[in-house]
Amino acid sequence: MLGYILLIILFAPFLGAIGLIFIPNRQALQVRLVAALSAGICFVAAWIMFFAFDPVKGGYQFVQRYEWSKELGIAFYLGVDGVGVPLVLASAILLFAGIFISWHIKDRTKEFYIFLLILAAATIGVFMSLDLFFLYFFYEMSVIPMYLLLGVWGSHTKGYLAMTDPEGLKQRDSVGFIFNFASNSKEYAAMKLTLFLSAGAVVALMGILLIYKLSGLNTFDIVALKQQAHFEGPVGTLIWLLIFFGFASIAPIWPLHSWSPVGHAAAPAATSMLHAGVLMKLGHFSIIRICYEIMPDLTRQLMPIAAVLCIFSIIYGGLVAFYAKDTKYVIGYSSSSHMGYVFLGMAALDYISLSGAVLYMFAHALATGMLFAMAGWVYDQTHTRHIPDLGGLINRMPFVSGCFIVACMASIGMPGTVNFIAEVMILVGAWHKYPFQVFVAVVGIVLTMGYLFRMMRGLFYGPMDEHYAHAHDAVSMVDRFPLLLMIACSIGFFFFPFHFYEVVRAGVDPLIARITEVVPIAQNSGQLSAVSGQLAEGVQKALH
Amino acid sequence: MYDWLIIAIPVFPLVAVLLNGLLGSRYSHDIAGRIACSSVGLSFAAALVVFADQLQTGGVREVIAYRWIFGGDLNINLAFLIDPLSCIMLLVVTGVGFLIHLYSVGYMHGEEGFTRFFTYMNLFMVSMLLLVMGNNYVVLFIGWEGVGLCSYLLIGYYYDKVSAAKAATKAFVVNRIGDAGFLLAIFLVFYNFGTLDYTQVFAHAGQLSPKMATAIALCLLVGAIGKSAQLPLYTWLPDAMEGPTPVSALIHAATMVTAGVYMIARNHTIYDLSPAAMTTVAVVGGTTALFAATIGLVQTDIKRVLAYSTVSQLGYMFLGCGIGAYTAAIFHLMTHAFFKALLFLSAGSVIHALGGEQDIRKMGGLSKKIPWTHAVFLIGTLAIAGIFPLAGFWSKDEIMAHAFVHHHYVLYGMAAIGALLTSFYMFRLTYLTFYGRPRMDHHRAEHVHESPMIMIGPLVVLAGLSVIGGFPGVPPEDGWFHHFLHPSVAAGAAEAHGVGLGLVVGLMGVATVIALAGWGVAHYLYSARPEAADQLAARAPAVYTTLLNKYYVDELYDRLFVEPTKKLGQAWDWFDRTIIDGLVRGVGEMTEGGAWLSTWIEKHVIYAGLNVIGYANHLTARAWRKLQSGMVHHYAAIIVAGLFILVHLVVVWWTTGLSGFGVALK
Repeated sequence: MLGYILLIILFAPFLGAIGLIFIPNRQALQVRLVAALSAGICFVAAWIMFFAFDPVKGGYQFVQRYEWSKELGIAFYLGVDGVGVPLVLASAILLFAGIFISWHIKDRTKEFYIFLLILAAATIGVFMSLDLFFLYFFYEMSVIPMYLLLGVWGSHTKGYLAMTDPEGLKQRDSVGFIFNFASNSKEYAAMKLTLFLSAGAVVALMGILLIYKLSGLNTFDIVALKQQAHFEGPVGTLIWLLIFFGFASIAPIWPLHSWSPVGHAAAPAATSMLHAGVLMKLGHFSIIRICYEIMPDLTRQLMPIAAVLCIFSIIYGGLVAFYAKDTKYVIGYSSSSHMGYVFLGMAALDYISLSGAVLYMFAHALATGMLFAMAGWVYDQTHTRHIPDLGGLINRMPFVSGCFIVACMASIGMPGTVNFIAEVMILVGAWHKYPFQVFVAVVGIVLTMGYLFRMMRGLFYGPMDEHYAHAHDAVSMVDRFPLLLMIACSIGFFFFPFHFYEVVRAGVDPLIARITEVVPIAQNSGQLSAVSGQLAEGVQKALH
Repeated sequence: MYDWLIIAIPVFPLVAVLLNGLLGSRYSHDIAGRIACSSVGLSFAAALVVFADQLQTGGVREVIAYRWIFGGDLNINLAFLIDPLSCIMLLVVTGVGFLIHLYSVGYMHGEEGFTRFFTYMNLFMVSMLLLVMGNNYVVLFIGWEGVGLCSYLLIGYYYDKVSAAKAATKAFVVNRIGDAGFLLAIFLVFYNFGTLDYTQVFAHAGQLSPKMATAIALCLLVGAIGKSAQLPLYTWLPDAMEGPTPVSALIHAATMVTAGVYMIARNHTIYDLSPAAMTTVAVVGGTTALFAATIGLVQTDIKRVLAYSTVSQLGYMFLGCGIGAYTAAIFHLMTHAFFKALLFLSAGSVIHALGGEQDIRKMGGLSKKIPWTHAVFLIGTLAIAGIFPLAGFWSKDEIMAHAFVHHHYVLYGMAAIGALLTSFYMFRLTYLTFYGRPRMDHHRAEHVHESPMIMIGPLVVLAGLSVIGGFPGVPPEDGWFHHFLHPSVAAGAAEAHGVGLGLVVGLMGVATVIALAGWGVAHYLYSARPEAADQLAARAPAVYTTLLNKYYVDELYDRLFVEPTKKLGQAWDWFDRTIIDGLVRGVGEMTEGGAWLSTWIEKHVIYAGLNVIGYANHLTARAWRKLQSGMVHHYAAIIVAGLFILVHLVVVWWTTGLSGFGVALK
């Protein structure tokens, strides 16, 4: 049973999506229940995987391998290590929460859930793939549902209405419309996102194909490539750069970020959650999986690029968020700013900082998921995201505003949320190598706090506008559950980080040891590992 | 044996937070208030036991409450350190906190958000206790952030007031600027020591290079400045008065704002290594003490006067730390907690009596109507002004004397002038509030009433403490307090000993004269000749307006930091939209151009070509049509021919692989 856990996690949403095809759209409740069921299976299985992962053993676990094409060296090869586990878990949590967040979508409910499930499953697929071919396959697969989710269920950002004059409408069908970059339509956002990500994917694909061609091993198998392939010289550098920038565009690193805030702003809430929560981490994850694992030496030489660019991400994103007036733009730019922290943690090539970066990806997924979920709620209730128009909503929605405060606290890394641990680990670990960047990052924390609190004040405090007297709070359990779930995870892992920490360290330690050739400090008397290992053993036994 | 008791100290209020926070809506306000108060009361009782134990056994006790992150190179525990310093802080926090909680039950009576208020207050107690009890920087930081959060929530308690929401945000953001410095200090400490536990860090502090020690000390100082509202980050504290008055008393006077002083005292080992950092601390403290006092002179809001007074008094504590008089600084921290909590709470009682009026120009003549409040406020004023033998006299004098004895004459001068101003503005406040002719409107005057017993009770206790709170520190430099605290903050040579009795008494005399002088001037201006104050203000309008507008510092910061940040954000937003998107658009337009070109080619080359092909096809078809003869033997012949070709192809592939066709798959 446990051996197949990854297959269950991966295929539960896929099968759910297939199942949904056979349910007519008018039975909306059934559609939602089937979606919730498949996401629920995925969710439960992801938790089981998380607890059953044995950090003492380390390495790739729950491995499944099916040959697909011997001639081309492609295998359907799944497995997770300490880096993949938290991200799979985050995807499952956000998918499950997202199903409930989108509970009230009435327009083509079935299709929406189908695409949402495919999106999540594809993302999870990337985090599990140990084969370059399937990693790329799932990666591309995640982009397509994004396009549809944005284009069909998205919302126009402010300014779009101004261009729906007869002439503007005429433009909508022309080629010119797609490239009309002054517009604020959801179609534009969808197109931009897809083009950006596809372009990045093509670049990365070149890198992947070069690895395949030049390794001389005739395989896409990451484990085999890691053990036997060796890349160096100008060609190796080229490959590394192709892979890095190809995947960094989804991460998104400055200056390849401009698709992301627009995409976030236009997307429906659950999509933004998955998108900012886990989709962006595909970039970091793929860089770790490919660059760090297969090309450790080049990573050591070239990762300073990320250390330079991450400052721009942090400060630039933060400042633009400070200026933005659309709630989702603020959160979107804050996400792209926060991804700079992950790059900083990765670039420092330190045990603590890379563990922090992995933890941060998880923590950020929850925090930003909460923020987008609630921004979506506020938008549904008020039909505006323009901060100056809003205010005093705490009177109408005390629960949502309470959760919003928690989410903001998480986002700025307040103690009490797992983000704090992650942030401190990144910065503590990166200090010895990049003190200047750490300094900038600390300034970035102040900025984050500034713009998030401005937004919070603008939305919830002050006198209430009459317009919003009809706005509703999240009252029913369906509405509250996803928010509470994410908050519980964010706070829970702050108080009980040990298993999580051990799992991450199990993935990070061998990576860093290989790259830096610094021996990790021996695990502290193995006390914790023992606890964690026992936990894993217990879960495994219970399932047998 | 006492380990569990130590752990229980912060757990009591935590339980109350969970109870009131999760179930508070199910039971009445009374029960919520009782839970909140008794939890803090229990903490206080536990703190007393721990203190008694500390008195008997002495030494340092470390208790690991919870192993948090451990493994490899990173070990962080939720662990507590009990030594004389944390004992004093514990008693102050839980004791004063308990009294303020009791008072709040009366003050907040009937408020809609009563339970929410007490949940936040208890959460504050938890954080503050973590802050003072932690045995490492992370726990300190967790508490540090926690109190900031609660301060934010409580300042913004009246959330539909725009000013409250703004003040709350400002407080949190300014605090966070300080916290950034604190975080950097933590990174520096970890970088240098590989651990964040106090005991280990301080044990190895000697290895630090002077530069590194200065860097750490200054980063810590930035954090302390933010939290303790010192120059230049003090602007949030006066605005924080938007919160309910008990909050101002607990958080913005007695406990949270003193966290910076506590932190510096706790890290004195590092500060002692760096004379430069010490001097900075002293200068920041001295300047703030004087600067804030001048603003306090002309403010007209009763709570704002007290807020500037708090900033100024915290300046004295920083000054004390900066000149190495840590004991005196902590001593002043303690007495200040007593009399400033007293002043704020009795100010709250005044506001309560007047139905929310805070402007002292609309008060006056209250001494008869609210005698209890008047009496305790007067005691508070005497204590803060430094009138012998109340608490403030001993502690403030000790800091000043220490400055004088160690030849910091400029700092001494600043502190002395500050003391004169303090005495003046406090008596000004008293005169304007309680004496003279009532200046409120008739309707208000009729409804003035004394506060209920639950509010007066804590006030009387605090008044008692303000009177006797200074005696543990008598005689100066050699009292019980000094001996008790000595193991924690023994600052080596910096601590003064053997100062001549004459000098001590002389300095006390000077301090008393200063305090009385301030009182005298206030009496003259606000009681004997009430019109003189306005004349004075009219004579120097520029000075008066500048002071009234708090030196325009808020406006300055807005211009210097807030606006440029927005502008930069705007500029980069523009950059994003034009340059980066422009590049993308360029690609897009190129693509579009390409699309146009392709379309043209499509139309004029390919279609045209295809048409030609099509026509040719048409012609061929006409010829080939003859193949469709309908005769079976024609078809059979074609099938055989086709098979023949196919078999050939298969055979070639079989024998040579695809290379037979010149195709290489590998």
